[in-house]
Amino acid sequence: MKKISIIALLALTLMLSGCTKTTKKDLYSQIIGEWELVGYSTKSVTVGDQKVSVSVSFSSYQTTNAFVMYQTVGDSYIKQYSGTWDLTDNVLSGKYSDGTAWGNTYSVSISDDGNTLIMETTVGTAELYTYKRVE
Amino acid sequence: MNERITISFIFLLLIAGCTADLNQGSNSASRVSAKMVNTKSEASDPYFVLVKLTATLNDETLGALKAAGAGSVTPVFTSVAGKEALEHKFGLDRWYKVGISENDVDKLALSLSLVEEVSAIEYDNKATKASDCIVYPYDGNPLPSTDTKSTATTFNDPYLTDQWNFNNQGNASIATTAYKGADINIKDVWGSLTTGDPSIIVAVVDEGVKYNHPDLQGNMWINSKEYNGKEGVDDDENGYIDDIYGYNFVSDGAITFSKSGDSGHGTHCAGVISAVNNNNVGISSVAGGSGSNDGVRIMSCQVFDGNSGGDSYTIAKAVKYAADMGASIISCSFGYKGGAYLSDGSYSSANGVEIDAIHYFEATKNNDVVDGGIAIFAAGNDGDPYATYPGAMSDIISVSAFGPDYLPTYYTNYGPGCNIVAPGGEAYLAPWTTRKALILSTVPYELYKDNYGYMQGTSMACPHVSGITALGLSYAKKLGKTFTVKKFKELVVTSANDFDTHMVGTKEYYNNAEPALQLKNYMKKMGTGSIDTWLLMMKIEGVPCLLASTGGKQWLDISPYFGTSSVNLTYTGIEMTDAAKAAIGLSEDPYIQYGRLYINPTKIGSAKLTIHAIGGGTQLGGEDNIGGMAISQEVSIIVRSFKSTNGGWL
Repeated sequence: MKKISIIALLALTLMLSGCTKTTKKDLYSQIIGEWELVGYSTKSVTVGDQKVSVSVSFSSYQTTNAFVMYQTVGDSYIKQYSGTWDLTDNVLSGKYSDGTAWGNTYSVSISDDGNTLIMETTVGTAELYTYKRVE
Repeated sequence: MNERITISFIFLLLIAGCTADLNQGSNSASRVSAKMVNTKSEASDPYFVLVKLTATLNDETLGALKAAGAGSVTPVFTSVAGKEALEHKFGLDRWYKVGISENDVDKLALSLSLVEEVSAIEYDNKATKASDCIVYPYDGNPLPSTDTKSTATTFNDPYLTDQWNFNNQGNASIATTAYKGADINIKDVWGSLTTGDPSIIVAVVDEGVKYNHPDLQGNMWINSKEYNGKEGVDDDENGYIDDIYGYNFVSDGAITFSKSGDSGHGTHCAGVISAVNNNNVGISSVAGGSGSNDGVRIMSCQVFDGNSGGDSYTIAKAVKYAADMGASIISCSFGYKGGAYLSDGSYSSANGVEIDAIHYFEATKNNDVVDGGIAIFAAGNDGDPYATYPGAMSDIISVSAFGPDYLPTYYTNYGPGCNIVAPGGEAYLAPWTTRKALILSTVPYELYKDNYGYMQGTSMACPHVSGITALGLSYAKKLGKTFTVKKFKELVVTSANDFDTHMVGTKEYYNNAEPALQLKNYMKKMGTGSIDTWLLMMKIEGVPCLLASTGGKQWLDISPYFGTSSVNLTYTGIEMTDAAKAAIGLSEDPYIQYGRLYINPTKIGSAKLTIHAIGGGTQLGGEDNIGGMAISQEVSIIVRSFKSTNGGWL
């Protein structure tokens, strides 16, 4: 009985360990791709009366996780940013190519269908950003 | 100057005292002095004065003028059907050229001043070109390209590599002090945004432009009614016969460009603005298109002709013509002698006919983008610490000059009235083995046995800004954007890069051909900085909101709005409504310090505020002083709980 219990516990541990590994890997692989900030039901977010459009593309090659972002803030031209990103314990962080750290880190989750990325700031007042996968 | 005014006034009083029918006491003398708005100079025309009436000429007034000794009385301006209201608004319908009959011009002026219906009498003033007018014909040895990155975005014009003003690679054979990047930052604009638009017309108010120059002909404005009409007939009934590419306002006839006394100045300026690009011929230009007949158009408004012209009567007529025939920009590389006027008021009152015409031009809408015309002038070549007029007027863009070393040129005017700086070229920079440090452009073959030549001057800096402004209008048209003319001028003047950090030490010349410049003397005196074409296009697209965060006082970089010289500009105030302050939870007013906007938002949201500054110098130009242009920028701010210092959203 004791032997069976130990085997069962070992199996459960292995299963859980496998599940955890699978989840992390999924998030990693799922985050890769092009995302567009969506404000509620539209393609852009409005802060006050200013429109914000952000399109960010995450990629991973060998040991480097890179991103390229195009943003339009207000009535302006498009600005491009790039840099690197990291995902640790479901928390997404990053650095711009000029060495500037992102303004915040984000707790991330992805919808079951893999098409919605939710990013919630982890420092200071919580702010929620929703991104849709660009087909 | 004051001495001359005093002597002239005493002279007038003496004449008044000696002439029986003018001897009407001290009140008359003061009336006389008030109506005589300027003094006669050696260059003034001895045969006529310009007279502004209190109302449009009628038979009674004509009689009074004749009785006062007037020989001929003719309107200065040709009236255009449909524009009568605008002409009346700016008083253009009340200016007359009054010729002498028997008396000399002084006596005529004095007599006219006693006519009730006369409100102002002007002697014809003389302006001069803002260049030494020395042309060095092209040496025929284009530099090899060293810019490996630019091959995909530049044109096939063979002499483009000699145009450091467009793409300065810091080539030491041009000048040992050549500074990489000291140019107008245009090649990416050509490559990806715009190269011009034929509906945008720039009037080159100057010597006649060689309209059949092989590198200009394709971008000349053409008055199709005259082009397709009969020779010797005013086919479009605008008062000017055969004005196909513009008009010669000096001779009242055909455009000329190669008389004795001509230098090719107008042709050179035109080439900077819109020589045909990408045609495998000669040079490139700021707004000369891509080789597909898409460059901005040049209208030749000739005000210098051989050794004649340059007078306010001629200039005023040319400026009105530019407005009436569709020009969006007047590019004016001339001005009055340095120090002749030291306030907007003194210039305006002494040159009423000219400033009335300029104001008429500024109020005339000739394109879909802005609601008026844009006047751009050279700052002057006297090395004076102020701009010359008319460019120094606070509503006119006045352009100073830098060399390939990204430093002021020895000749450029600087200080109050100078709004922005652009490449003007410069002689005597070591090694001075070539003339490539000057500005290469088109010249009349008839004068130099070459189609291209080098010149220097704020005359050459001015058409760079004219061309860039035309390019900006072209791009705005492409985007379907509209602006007020005031706003567009502000965009131009604030599309500038920092110049002041280079104002350290001295600048030396080859063999001491010119005295060394003490660069600290130019600090904060070169307008808002050096013009940047790319920046202007980005501002036309729209300036990004500044990103701020809650949780403490912080400074925001306002260079996207005011250029990278923003740290050195003079700011005159901030406007922000109470509602805007409430939207982002401001408990104290924002302020500017060291060229940065300080703000302490406590609430997530967005708000707008308006920052007022001076475009060139530390005080605004006005009735009683010479100074900079008032510029205002509406700044949008988004506040979140955090921000990235480089403006990134994440």
